[in-house]
Amino acid sequence: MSFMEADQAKRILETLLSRGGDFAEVYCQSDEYTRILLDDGKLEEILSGEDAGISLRLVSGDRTFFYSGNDLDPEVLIREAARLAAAVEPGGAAAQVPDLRNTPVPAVSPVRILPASVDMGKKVELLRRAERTARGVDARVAQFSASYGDSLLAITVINSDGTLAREQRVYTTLFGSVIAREGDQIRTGYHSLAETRGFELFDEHPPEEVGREAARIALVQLSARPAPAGTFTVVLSSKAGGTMVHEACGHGLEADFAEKSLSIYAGKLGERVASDLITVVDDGTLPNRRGSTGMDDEGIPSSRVLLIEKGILKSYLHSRRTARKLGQAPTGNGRRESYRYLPIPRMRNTLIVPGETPPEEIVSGVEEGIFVCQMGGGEVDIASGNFIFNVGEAYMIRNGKIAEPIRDATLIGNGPEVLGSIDAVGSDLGYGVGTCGKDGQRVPVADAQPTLRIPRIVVGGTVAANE
Amino acid sequence: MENREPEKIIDRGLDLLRRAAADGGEVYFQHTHDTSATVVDQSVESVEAKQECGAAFRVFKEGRVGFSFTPDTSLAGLRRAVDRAVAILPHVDPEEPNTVPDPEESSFNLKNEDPELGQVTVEKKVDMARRIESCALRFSTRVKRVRESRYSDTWGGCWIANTAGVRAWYSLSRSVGSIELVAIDKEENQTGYGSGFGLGIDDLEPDAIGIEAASRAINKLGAEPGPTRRTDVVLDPDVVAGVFGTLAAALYADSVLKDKSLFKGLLGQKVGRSTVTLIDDGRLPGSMHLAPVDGEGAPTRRTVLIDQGILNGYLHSHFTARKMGVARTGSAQRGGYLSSPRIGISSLYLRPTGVSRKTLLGMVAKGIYVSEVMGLHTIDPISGDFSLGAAGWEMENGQMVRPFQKMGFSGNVRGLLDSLAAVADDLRLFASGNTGSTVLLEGISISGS
Repeated sequence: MSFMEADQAKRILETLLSRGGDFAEVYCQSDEYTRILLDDGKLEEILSGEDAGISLRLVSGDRTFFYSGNDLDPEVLIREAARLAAAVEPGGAAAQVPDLRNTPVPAVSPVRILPASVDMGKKVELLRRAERTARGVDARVAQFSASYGDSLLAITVINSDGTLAREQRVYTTLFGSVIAREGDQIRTGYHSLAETRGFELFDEHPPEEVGREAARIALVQLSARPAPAGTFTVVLSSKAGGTMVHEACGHGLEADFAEKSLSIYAGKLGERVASDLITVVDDGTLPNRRGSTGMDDEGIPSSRVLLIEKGILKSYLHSRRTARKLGQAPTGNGRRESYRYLPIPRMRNTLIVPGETPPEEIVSGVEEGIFVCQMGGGEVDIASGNFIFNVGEAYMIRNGKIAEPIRDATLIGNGPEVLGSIDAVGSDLGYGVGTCGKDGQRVPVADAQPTLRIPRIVVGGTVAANE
Repeated sequence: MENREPEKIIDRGLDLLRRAAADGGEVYFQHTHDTSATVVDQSVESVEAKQECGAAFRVFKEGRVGFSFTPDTSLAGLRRAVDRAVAILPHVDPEEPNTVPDPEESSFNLKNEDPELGQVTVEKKVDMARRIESCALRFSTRVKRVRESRYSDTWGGCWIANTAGVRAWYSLSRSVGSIELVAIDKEENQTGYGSGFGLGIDDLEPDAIGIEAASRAINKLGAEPGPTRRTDVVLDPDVVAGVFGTLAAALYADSVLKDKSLFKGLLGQKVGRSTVTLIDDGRLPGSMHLAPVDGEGAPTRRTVLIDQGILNGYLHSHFTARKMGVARTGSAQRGGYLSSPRIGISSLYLRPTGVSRKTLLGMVAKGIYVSEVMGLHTIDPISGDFSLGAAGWEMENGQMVRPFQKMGFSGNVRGLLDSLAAVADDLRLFASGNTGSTVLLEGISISGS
């Protein structure tokens, strides 16, 4: 669906470029979505709405002029386009806009059942099923809450290269969270399903999976002792998803940071930035993965980008602007949360490519350390490469064996140092899903990694009283 | 200004709600105008303008509530949104306190906007971003790169009305200046961020914003983690604002009702040292969240949550106040028309304990000063556990002697309130909407090398 006709878009582009300029774009978006919240047995809220808007962008040299709004009146848009054009240095001649051509966009994630076509009662039942399962796991499961979300997003990108590209994106998510109690101990566990496909997601991953896994993690936490603090060998299980690769190197490879020499990875193309065991890619073409799209939010087709090959830095993640600035080809990583924002370089599905070591061999080689199975949220300082992330589920490793569970651990380290120190890469691969925040914009992502061993990393835990 | 005639939209909305198959409802309308100018190396990188408006509806029927929203404020668009909200009702579980919020009288004059802001030229906005950048660069030659120096502002208005008789509106304006930069020494890069805000552009102090960012970055240069230990910790106002702003979720009445708060069942009981008096004030002059009414049209007010270490109350919406049989606190907030009202803080602060920042620092014989933390969003408001990355200074005899970074600062909010020894009288309001003063905590776990 699109509310912008080609001839109207062309008129806006011509207005934008009426005093010169290098690039102009019209971005249209409409979104229909549903969100359902279940909390402790109560179907608390259903939110259903529509959102639609347009943004205009004019690039002149290194300057970008941008307008966004949700008034779709063609006269308003022409007036705003003229206002942006007026900001260009006077004296320029109008730039030509070629005839618009439909640019084919591949369907990366085929959708069988549009969530919008599914009865609300069926969506509600998913949450009830997840809850019944979670509560059935153990009497110590005190509370269960869950949210279901679906979104039908229609995007049209029309620009002065002549591109007219449309894409429909479907996002379906189910998130469950368990609170387990024993005496005065309260612990939480969560699990989520989030993919770019329709309601058929739940054929492959029934909602019971969410309830069961969230309950399991919360119960493990109940028996966990506080994490020790200090420096340890850490094995990151492939089950932990890719928070580490996302935080430790993904953000630093986004070209807006590199372009201004702000990233620790800036100016290091062709140089060693990680152990030779490490190969990192960002891939927007993986069917059904949460970060997958047929095109980015600038109309560039999605692709697989080789970022680090055997420890050597090969590429950054580019938007049109950074690619132009650094004289490289766009990589399809220009993403935006919505029409309200300018596109910026973002990750899609980011992963460390599996190695050859069997995961169990990696654990058995550690005398004392920490085995991390689930990671929580994280944050990175791009300039220094310092990062932190929380650990959701973890165990001590003693004499090469996984021992007692620990809780409340945090991993604190430096991206290039950690990537450079990894001395074992497993033959497995596990995905995690998330919503990544940058510059106030949130976009859906996935990340993945094999089992990895970091010989030394600071673990933030609780110091025993006698220390 | 194409407000799309708010009063007319509100009236149309109320009319649709009265005709809907429900007990009544609420209509909310907002319009916002945002502009920003970003500068790097004194050159304009981008100029952005955004205009948006939209309406949201809540309909109530026999304890059930349905919510919907739309950017389309034509009669057809509004009708579609009301129909959506009504269609949701049968699927939602009923709960008796879900009724249309009652009107409540309140007189309150507040200075919440700079009427001149809408007339400020783009050139003046760009110039402000340039001034912030040049102040930061002048501060030290080690400030080598600026990610962006930015001026942004927003102005607009909100209208709330319901079928029980609430009818309120307010306008607002805010100007924000910020800068993100990098200080470099040898091979080491460190980032610094500074910001400031006011009702209008002339309220901004570009020097202060630039210097804050520059000094934060420079202070981290050459920093190494210190040893793992238990020690006295001074928290910077910025850190206090972030930590308490996040932990505040445990004081929301809905968290308590859902048994997701470590403060449940503790009303009237001791939850911290007598030094702890925690207040949320919806009418704190000059604050980011200043408004006469909340997102349900209830008057905002000052609420003492913890009084000298004793838990005194929670933050309430209409629903939670009815459920718990207490007065509303005017804490139902809206993140825009796309989301339903949720309980939130306005300006949360600790009452000073009668010491200046200088005196407080002098109380530390040996300890650390935490000027920055990472990972705030990972704080667990249910258990109260937190584990954050920290950077700052090692302290000896009240002096900051050596910078550190990459350390871990962990604990539990209950332990934090028990260890709070002093609160300085240097309350700062931040552009993030949070507020904080310098505080001293005794005996906190710090992990490092």
